[in-house]
Amino acid sequence: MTESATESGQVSRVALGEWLMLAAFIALGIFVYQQINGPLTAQGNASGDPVNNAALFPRLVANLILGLSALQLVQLLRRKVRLSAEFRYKATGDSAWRCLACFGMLLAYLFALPLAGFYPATAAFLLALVVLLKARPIWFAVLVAVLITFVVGYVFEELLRVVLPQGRLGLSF
Amino acid sequence: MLKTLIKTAAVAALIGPVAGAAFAADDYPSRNIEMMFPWGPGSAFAMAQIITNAMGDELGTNISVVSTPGAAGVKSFNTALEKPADGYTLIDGWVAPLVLQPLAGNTEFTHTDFTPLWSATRVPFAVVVRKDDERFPDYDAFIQYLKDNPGKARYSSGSIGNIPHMVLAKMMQTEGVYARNIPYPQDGDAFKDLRGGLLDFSFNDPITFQSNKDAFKTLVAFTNEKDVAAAYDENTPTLDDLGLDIGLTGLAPSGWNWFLVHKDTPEEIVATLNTAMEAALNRPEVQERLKAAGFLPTMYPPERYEEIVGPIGDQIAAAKDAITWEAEQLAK
Amino acid sequence: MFDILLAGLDSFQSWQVIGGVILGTVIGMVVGVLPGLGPLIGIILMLPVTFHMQPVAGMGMLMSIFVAGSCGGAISAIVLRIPGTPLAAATLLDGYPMARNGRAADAIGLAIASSALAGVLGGVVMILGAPALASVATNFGPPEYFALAITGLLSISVVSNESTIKGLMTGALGVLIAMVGSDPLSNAARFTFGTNALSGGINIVAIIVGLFALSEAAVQILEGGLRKKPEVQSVRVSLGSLWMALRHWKNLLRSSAIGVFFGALPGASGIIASFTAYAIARSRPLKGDAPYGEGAEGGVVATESANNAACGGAMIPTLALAIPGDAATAVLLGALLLLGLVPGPQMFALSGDAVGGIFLAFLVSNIVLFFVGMLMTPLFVRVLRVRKQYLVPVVLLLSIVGVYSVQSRVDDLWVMLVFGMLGFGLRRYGYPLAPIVIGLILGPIAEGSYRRTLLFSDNGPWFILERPIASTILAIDIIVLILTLTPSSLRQRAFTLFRKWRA
Repeated sequence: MTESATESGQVSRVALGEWLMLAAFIALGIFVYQQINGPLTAQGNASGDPVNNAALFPRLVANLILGLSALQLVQLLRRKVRLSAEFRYKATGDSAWRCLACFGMLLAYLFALPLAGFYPATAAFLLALVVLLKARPIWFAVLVAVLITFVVGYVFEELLRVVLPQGRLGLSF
Repeated sequence: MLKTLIKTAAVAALIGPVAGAAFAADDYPSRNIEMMFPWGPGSAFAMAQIITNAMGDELGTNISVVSTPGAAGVKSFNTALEKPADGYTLIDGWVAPLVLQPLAGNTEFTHTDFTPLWSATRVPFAVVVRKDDERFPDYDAFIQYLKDNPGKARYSSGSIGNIPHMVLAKMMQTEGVYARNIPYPQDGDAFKDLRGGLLDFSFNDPITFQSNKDAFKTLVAFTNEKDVAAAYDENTPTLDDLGLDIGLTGLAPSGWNWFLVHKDTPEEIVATLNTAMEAALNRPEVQERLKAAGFLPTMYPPERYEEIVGPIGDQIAAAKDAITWEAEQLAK
Repeated sequence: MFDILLAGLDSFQSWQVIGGVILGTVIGMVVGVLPGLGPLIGIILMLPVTFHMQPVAGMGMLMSIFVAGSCGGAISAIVLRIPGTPLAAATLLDGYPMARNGRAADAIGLAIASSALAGVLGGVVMILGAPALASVATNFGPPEYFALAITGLLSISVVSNESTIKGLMTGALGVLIAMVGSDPLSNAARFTFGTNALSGGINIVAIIVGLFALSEAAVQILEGGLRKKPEVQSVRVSLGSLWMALRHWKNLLRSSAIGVFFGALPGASGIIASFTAYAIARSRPLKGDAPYGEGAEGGVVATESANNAACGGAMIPTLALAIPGDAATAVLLGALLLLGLVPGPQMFALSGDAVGGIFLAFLVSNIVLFFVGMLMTPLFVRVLRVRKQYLVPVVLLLSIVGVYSVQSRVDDLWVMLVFGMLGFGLRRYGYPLAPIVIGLILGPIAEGSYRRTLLFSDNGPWFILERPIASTILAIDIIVLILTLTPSSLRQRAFTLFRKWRA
């Protein structure tokens, strides 16, 4: 969180992320054109009558995005950007690391879910998450993780009758 | 507690794959079953629930119907095929993803890649126009109008390239006429625009027709059987009444579904499911409710799957060219 | 109206019916609050149960789920800043700031009271005017839908506060995301990279939960204070929120009218209604209310009354023409058929006791919603007192299981993860998320109706000018657009000039 806002809402230096977001939107606009001229043209759906012409509307939207990006570029050059209100605080490196680790765990959980099945994967995921978020003592964290897993499992399986992932390793409870 | 959990998990992981297969058939079903449904939730979804609810009763478990719409129904079939072939995933096999899409080359499966249970229901389609539309007093006048105004009339079959589109295009090709199909992803929007006067004619199903009787009238129902056409009303002519042969007979010109499971599902489990489904379909209240909603039970046993679906596939393969023909005429 | 309701009174007065309505309301609240689940899932899950109930009780329960589920999403939006259902995406704009200002209980009470009041109004319109309104709806063809979609898209500029450009960019992003998959008109594969997984499009629930819930989890962790016990005053059950809502009676009536109107058009939905109502309410703030975007009561009243009035509206084409506007009413239609009732104009004319009972159940479900909601409010506020270290994991888990249960696909969870990261990036740099929801919903309507308009037309888009309703709506849109784009000083000068000219 490097930038700081002046009274008028203008910033002294535009953050790198602002430029990256803008670049991503411009890339998106170009990507749409690439898709229209590539796969859609190859399928024969980039022209013709309104039924067949699946590129009619994407082209409009791509033009809109590119036009807005040009306006946004002017804003950035004039340093007329506002800081998002919810980020006007300094996050510590510690929190940032913790946040990243959480997303890593979510990633691991999504890999594990179809393999191990709902109950083992979820209990492990929750345990890792609460421990990472500083829940102590550990025995309490374990208790919470297992308890929540079973409560959520019960609610969704028995009351809402959802078929939760079973796992391919043959685990079942 | 965690230790026990891990121990149990480890033991289960070791013996699971072996034990799982051996135990599976014996205590089937030991948990909830799900059925993949290829369209968005609606009337057909409720009908699937009627049948699976009774089946679940017979089996002593719960069967939840999961709607996975997308890619003309193919997404739901693919989702089901990705799940283990253990009898805990059923497929509501509607004709479009089961027969039409494979013929169009949009799938990696064909109808022979599934083990059939019992057939479920059929929905006969019809051509409807506005009651007060003086251009179309009957079917012959309707065809004459299309002849006099080639490509000018606008109709809807719901989506492009679906079964109703194929049937209507085939009918028009047989008569040597064509019109412009306006696609509506939600069928209901098309019926609304027929009522509102934007469309000239449209396909229809029995229940929408019953609910719009004040405004709609049928020109033909795509069936050879008088009692099937009666799902609309007594005055609805069948193909035979009009002496019309469009190359689609029996179930072929209608929407129908057949319950299926993955091909590799163990035989005993398929047998259990079949017994349950037969009993479920034979319940009077199930029959009554399906009929009242315009979904007519077909009652074909699993053994007749190949004999019925095979020829339908051949008819559809021949008829779907009518859609291409229509596009060519319009492009002229 | 009264003869229908009187005829229905007999079949309504049974414990099974009243119990069904109460049970349905509680279930509706729960599925509404849980991220990912919504009224549709609630109705689907409970439909098999109704097979064993008498028709009025069964329909009563399902409609209560519809009504309460449409309101429940507001609670997670207010408490957790996660819209429990897409319908609540607009409620978040002022509901969450209200909670942040320490007025969580007021915000929830206001949301429930407005929902209930507007729900009753919507119900009355449904019973009185269904056949007439249904025939109005049939006059709305593709050109009119296109004009309305543009109206809805205009509300983006309002909901994105000062960053209008960024808001329009994310709105356009939403439109593009909705295009992934088979094109609904030509069936051509768009932006799928030739994969099967994308050919069916991207599940909208996974997108919305990812964008809001995952990014919120990240924001909460970044903020720190994981082990701190939040100090939230406990609240007692009170009926005061009813008066609080009635203070906004003009807003309530206007937003309800907008809700019924959009609800009655098949395909348009409560989401457009709530964003449009919000945009209009914002231009007419009530004296003494907080500024919009910073916890204005009027914002919550507008969005919640619009999306619950839309429930009654959505029943109109469903009951009168058997043409449901969305998936939830489509399943309700299926349920009606299974109970042996054939929808259509005759349904109102017959005024059979079952029909009357169903209407009565719809009205009563809104009243029950109010009381059940008031009783449950202290419970919801308690959620705010849970330490983040437990709240964040539980909300994450509920979001995951909720999204999974919609289509039973693990792929959807990956979608959720990707959109969670996207949502965080967008929020970090001040790109508003609400316009994405608007784009997702309105994009397909705008595209489909525009292309259909061209198909009906012999002279391109000018066909719209031949349609009086469509051209009027578009003309209003253009005036609004010009007014928002011109600086206020210029507007003031033009106004003085106009007055001079008149004098």
